[in-house]
Amino acid sequence: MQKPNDEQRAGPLSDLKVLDLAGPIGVYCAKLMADLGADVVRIEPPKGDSMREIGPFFDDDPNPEKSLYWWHFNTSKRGVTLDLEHPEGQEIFRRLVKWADIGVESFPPGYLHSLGLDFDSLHSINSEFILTSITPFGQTGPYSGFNGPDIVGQAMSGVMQTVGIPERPPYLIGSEIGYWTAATFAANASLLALAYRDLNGGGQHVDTSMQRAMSLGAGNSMSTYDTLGHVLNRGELFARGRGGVRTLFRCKDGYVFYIAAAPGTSMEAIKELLTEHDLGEEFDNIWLDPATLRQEGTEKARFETLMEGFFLRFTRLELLEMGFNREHQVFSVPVGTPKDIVESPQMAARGFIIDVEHPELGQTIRYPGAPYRMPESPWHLSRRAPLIGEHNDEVYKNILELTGDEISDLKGNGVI
Amino acid sequence: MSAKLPLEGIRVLDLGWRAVAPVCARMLGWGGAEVIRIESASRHDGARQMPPITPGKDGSLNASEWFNNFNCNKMSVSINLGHPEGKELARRLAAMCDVVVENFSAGTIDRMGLGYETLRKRKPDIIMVSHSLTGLTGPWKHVKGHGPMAAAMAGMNYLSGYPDSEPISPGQAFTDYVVNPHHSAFAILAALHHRRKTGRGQYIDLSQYESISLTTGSSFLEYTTLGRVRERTGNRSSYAAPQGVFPCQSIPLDGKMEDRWCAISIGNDEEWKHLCQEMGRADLADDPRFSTFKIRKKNEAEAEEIIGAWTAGQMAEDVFLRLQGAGVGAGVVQNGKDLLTADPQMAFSGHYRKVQHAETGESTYDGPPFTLSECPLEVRPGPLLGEHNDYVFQQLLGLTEDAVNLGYVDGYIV
Repeated sequence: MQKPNDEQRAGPLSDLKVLDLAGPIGVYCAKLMADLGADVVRIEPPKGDSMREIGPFFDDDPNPEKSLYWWHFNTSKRGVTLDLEHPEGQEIFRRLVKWADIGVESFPPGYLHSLGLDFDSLHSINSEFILTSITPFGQTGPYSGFNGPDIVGQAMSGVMQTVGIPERPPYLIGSEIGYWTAATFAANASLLALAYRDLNGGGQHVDTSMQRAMSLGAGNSMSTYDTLGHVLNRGELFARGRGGVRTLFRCKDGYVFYIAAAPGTSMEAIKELLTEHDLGEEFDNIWLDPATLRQEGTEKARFETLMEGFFLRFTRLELLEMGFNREHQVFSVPVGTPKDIVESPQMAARGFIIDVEHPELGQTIRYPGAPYRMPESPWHLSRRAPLIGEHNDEVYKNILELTGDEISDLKGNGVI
Repeated sequence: MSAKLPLEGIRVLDLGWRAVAPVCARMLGWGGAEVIRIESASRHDGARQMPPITPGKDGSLNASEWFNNFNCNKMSVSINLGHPEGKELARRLAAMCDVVVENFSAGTIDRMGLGYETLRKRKPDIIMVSHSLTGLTGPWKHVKGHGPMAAAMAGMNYLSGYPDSEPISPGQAFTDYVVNPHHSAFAILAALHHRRKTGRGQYIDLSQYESISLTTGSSFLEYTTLGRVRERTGNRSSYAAPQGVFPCQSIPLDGKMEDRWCAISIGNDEEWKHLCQEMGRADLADDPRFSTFKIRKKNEAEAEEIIGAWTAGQMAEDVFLRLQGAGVGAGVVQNGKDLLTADPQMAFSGHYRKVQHAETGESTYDGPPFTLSECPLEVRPGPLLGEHNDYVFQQLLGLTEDAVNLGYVDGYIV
């Protein structure tokens, strides 16, 4: 692993050693740890991880070393190959467990047991070892053996029920947010287990369920049923509006997200802004009470028509500037595309976008940066995702103290 | 019995309002930290009146199940932070805490006299996190607002919805409930680990805009390396096909018919074969229109139509269980009632917790969405406004009864 240089303070988890076996449902978990300094060893089967087959690919070349998905989720990790289904591979894994603090895995429940690598077995080797499991439904229970891709987590958790418009089916949020959520809660749970170990000693098994994790994103759906016996559905939620008023409008170069009548906003502000653009006459003072806009009807329609015309005259950044560079602010922000985020002046000023070296390509690639700034013990993307088996020699020699001959034998047997 | 909870001995000051910071502090409370919210009756957190409100308790500041669920395991102390003496009490309390969380707009907490530089003079190893909309620095730091605005800015909306239609916002404030508070809770847990090693605290600056943008997966790299702007794809996936939600038999609910849907995702050719068998259409398994992923992706609409014709009229639960029995990824689009009353997996996991609350009676809260084998985590009722004034003022801060009474009279304890 690239050692932090003198200027670079160590991340807060720089003393942690982590084994990462997780698939897409859990891969973000060890990225969170690796980017905060943990020494994460990503373990793949000898032929490479199946995540490497997920596109799109750099240069549109479907090469396992060029999967952008792999790149994004495996930063700052080292990578080794290891066949866990081979008895010698299992022995190597047990030796890695002696070295490690945390293991992260997302195999179907029971799979590790079939290899003799379940929590109890690993715990008997290293009583301080924390095993974090991330699965669609948890390690036990009637659905624990079920097949749970991201969409199943979004559906079964109650989140999808709340997303969309009445005329169309329920729909997914963004980019595999079910997987993301399961992995992020697992990362939180792992650090709780670590805090527990620091206080009491002893590792433990952390069992994270995507369904349970995502269910927190359904907000007050459960409590609304529990309290009022009412089932919330996408028709009455916020797909298009907030505080009863539409939030999404077309503008000159895309879409703008505008909150008219929610807490902290004022209708006076939008009246002022419209007046500055010679639309003051069109503004009806009865709208100063946003209650007039909260129900379907003429007033709501008149107001929205006026706003449609106004927003179409300007670009998203113009609307952001004119909305916020004033005493009474108008809450209008760009609906950002991936391109907008990369090119955002705010992101640029804060150095969110970082250059990462890809020595195998002889170039640097721009990556998204830190989810949080913590300069005392900073987030740091220390290296691009590992190539297949890139750190076999380094890990097996330096950590397990295998000899060159032993490593050659393992390679010969197809174990690594 | 002597084992301690993970965060036992850690005290957290929750200066948050609404969702982001309070939800972050809830994670610490689940972990066993003592979390104290500063609130006031004169300027209370609007969350205390967010729906659902226990029937018959309209007007109470203690009967929002939204608030109580998101503030379980916490204490509440009522201090008027607009009053100089109130600020001083808050600073004294902060000096007894390990972690402070807040989510005012950038710079507000400094103007209130409760900023990091002020607090760390009294408690040098304090850990503090601010959750502002776009960060504490930069040309947009004055842009303030609600979590859903940050979600829109950060690409979540653009990548959600149908390709032939406008971007749509998540129905609930998803980023306030999930994304940002659990990025920041992770950062705090890491900072606590750092403090255990070094004795040093720190200030954490979380920009909701930046944090949410990290949920857009490889779309960022797709733009920086290929110059392509990813577009929303509805319910489809780039590596599973067909994938979508399919209409099932509607059911009566609240006096009207509720539409029901089952999600189905075909991850490989084997699963496609099993789906075809379950549909009684084994002939489609090797049909040249559908036999491989690549070709199914091309003919996805046609495959969706066939599946939809099969699911229509069936109960969503039947489709789900039948397909899962055959190893096919499937799941009912469940609602709050399903999760609470019907889902045997949620019941088995013990996720939902019953609590007894002084004003709402028996209520159900979320538990932490994970199980730690060595330390069951507790869930206790959300605090009444000012419920823990005696504990905080007398036991923690050591104020005399007279001093507390003076606070009430002068209006800084409210």
